[in-house]
Amino acid sequence: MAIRIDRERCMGSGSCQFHAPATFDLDDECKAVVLRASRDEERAIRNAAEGCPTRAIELVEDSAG
Amino acid sequence: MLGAGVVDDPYPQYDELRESGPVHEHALTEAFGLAGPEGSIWGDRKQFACYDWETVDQVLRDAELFSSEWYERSIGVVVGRSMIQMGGIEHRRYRGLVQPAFTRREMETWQQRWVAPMVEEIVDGLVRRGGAVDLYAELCSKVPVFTIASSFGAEPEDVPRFHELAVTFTGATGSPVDRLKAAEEIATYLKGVIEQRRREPRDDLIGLLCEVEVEDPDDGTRHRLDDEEILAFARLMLPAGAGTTYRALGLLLLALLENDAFERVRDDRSLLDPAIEETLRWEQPLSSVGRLATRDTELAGVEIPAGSVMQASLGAANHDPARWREPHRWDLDRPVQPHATFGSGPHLCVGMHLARMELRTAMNGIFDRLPGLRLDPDARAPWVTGLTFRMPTAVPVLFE
Repeated sequence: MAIRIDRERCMGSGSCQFHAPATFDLDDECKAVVLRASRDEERAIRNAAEGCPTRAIELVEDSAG
Repeated sequence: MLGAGVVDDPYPQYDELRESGPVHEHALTEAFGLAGPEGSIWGDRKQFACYDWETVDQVLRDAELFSSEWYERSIGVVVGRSMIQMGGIEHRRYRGLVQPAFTRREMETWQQRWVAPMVEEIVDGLVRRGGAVDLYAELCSKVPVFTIASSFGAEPEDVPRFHELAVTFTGATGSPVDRLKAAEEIATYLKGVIEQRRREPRDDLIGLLCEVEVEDPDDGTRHRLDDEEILAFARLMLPAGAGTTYRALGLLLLALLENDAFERVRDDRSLLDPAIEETLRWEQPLSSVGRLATRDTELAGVEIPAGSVMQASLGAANHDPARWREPHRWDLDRPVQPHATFGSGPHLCVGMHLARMELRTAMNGIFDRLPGLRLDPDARAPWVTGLTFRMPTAVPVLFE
């Protein structure tokens, strides 16, 4: 699963970081960024995407199979 | 203001409204046999309310269609024009100024500097005194206001007076005259702090607000915030951040003690965050928010004319059985899902990481210093009450 962040939409609430702290961080401009080595459960990442107040997180499912 | 004693258990009524709605043409209070539009701050408008997860989420996210100008006649009257009632690009600019001060990382600093030492001091006082205590009055009421006062740079000796003023200012019981008088005294105090910070920068919240620059949407020039803008923001923090977290902490304690979960979370602190989230879902310090429709629209099959009031019931959304199994139950083992208590969309509570940190820090302090905490069997059993504002009647405990 790939994670894409729309920086234009991101308002820097840090909601994603709350739900999946090993996957998301905020950069110097207070915009969400994806950390490379995520140890969060998939459920937490889905919560982060669903809970994003501005729908700035897109989860792209692996198309394999 | 529809607080304690008005309604104890709104959930059966919410269930009925959700099933027969989810959108109704009425003021939310009317559904509970209370004052209708004539008692509403926007009584000259048509009144609507919505009660299911999907519609509430949609209303909160679509801030262009459902505007926060609703606050102009509520919080706006006492705090002045602040970001809570702004929209679009103006809101984005003002919110962007303070957002970096409320990140999770920033909250770690607040925790170490202000919240943890203050919780320790309050709990120490309780331990010294011993006996039966109402934690709702003796602890929950203090933590949030003390935190805000500290973040403003109030001197420790000024904090009790600040607390008093904040209670009057944000309280539902005082007369409007008293509230405005308290607002004025707070403003005078804060103006002194602002003046000091302009002379001598410091890294507290007022210091930050004195430093930041906002961009003019018309010509792109940047200007610092003037005193009124800083005051509006600072005053907004009191109704938004004091009473809410006060009630949330009381609800959290009650949930843990009534569900025999206190020991379990005390002994496994990885359960503390889930306990906080489940409490925020189960009961909401603020159970509904108001919006104004900016144009004619339709919501779940109901025609909403431009200018109408739309109340989004966070409480009913958080108890929607389409999203949560047995929603009326507090269940520590429930998988965490985003809830509506901090709202959503561009106005998502800016203080949510602050609130969570305060709840976590207060509970850790209690677990560590009052590990034998239990409800006082000789006190009147507490319950949760209130319609707009949900709160415990008390949290009477013994801890020896």
